[in-house]
Amino acid sequence: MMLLSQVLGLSVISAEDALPAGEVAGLGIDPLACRVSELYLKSTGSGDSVPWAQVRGMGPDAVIVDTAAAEAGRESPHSRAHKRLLGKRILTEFGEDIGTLTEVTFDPETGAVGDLYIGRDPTPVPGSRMVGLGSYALVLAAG
Amino acid sequence: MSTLMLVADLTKRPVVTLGGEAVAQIKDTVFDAAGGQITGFTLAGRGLLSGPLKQSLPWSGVHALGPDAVMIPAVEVLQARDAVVDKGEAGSGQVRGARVLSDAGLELGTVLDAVVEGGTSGRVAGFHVATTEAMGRHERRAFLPAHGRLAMTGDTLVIPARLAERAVDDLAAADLRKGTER
Repeated sequence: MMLLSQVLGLSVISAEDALPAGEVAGLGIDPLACRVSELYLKSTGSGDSVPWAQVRGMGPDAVIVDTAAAEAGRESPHSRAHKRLLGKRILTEFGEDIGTLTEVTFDPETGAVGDLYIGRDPTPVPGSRMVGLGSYALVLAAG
Repeated sequence: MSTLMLVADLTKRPVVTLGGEAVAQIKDTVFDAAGGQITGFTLAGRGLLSGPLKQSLPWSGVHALGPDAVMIPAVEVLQARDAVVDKGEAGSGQVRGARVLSDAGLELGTVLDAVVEGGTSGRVAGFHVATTEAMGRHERRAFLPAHGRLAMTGDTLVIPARLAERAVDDLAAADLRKGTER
């Protein structure tokens, strides 16, 4: 498992020509599928994104992506809601604010989201409880 | 989940879809004619300069009324403003200030606010009342429980005298305050 905070700032390198494509600015998450859907890049224009399917490898030192993907990413629309995932307000489906998102674990091979850490609570919540992710909040089903 | 909350505290609470988008905020709470159940909410836009919205939120569209947000399944549950306002007779404005009479004919006080059950219930659980001497209480404000059907017209609420004896000084004393404290 990898941590979201660990991935932020990693350099993104294209597999084909080994050229840097940018830095990881964030991850887009599909809350219902409970997996990472895309990678947001910074420093290559404003807000590029790479679909998860085009990520070849993710390690402690770099993220390798298909060249074509990094370029296609420039035009692909993406949701601002998923940016700044860390610090996102968390609501239960019962309308209770239970804190902010402080960490997300995920499998770098499959993109499956593992656990969510909320506030300073050392006990994580399984990512499978996610029901929605919008610009206002991440919504969790009753535990 | 049945947390109790004062209706006045619902104002400005955000209306959030299960998809995590805040689409409005509560402007006013509308009750049914008998004042026993929330029938819906009128809405205002979010942000400083946004005024009332033309849409409203019927209670049937509420997923859960929570202490920090009103959750709705999706923005599609919002309806035209008339759908809520016409059905309900008593807006929270009319509940406030209503005269409280016991069924023994004693004037007990005036309603300061209604207390509602959160979650999926939306039931009126009681009233916050400014009491008269008739209550014989030291505290001049009390919470009166409301059970079952209420006899309420626009400006008068009649409650059984036995309920008046069960008044409490604050919601916490009756273990009712859970969830409204933050």
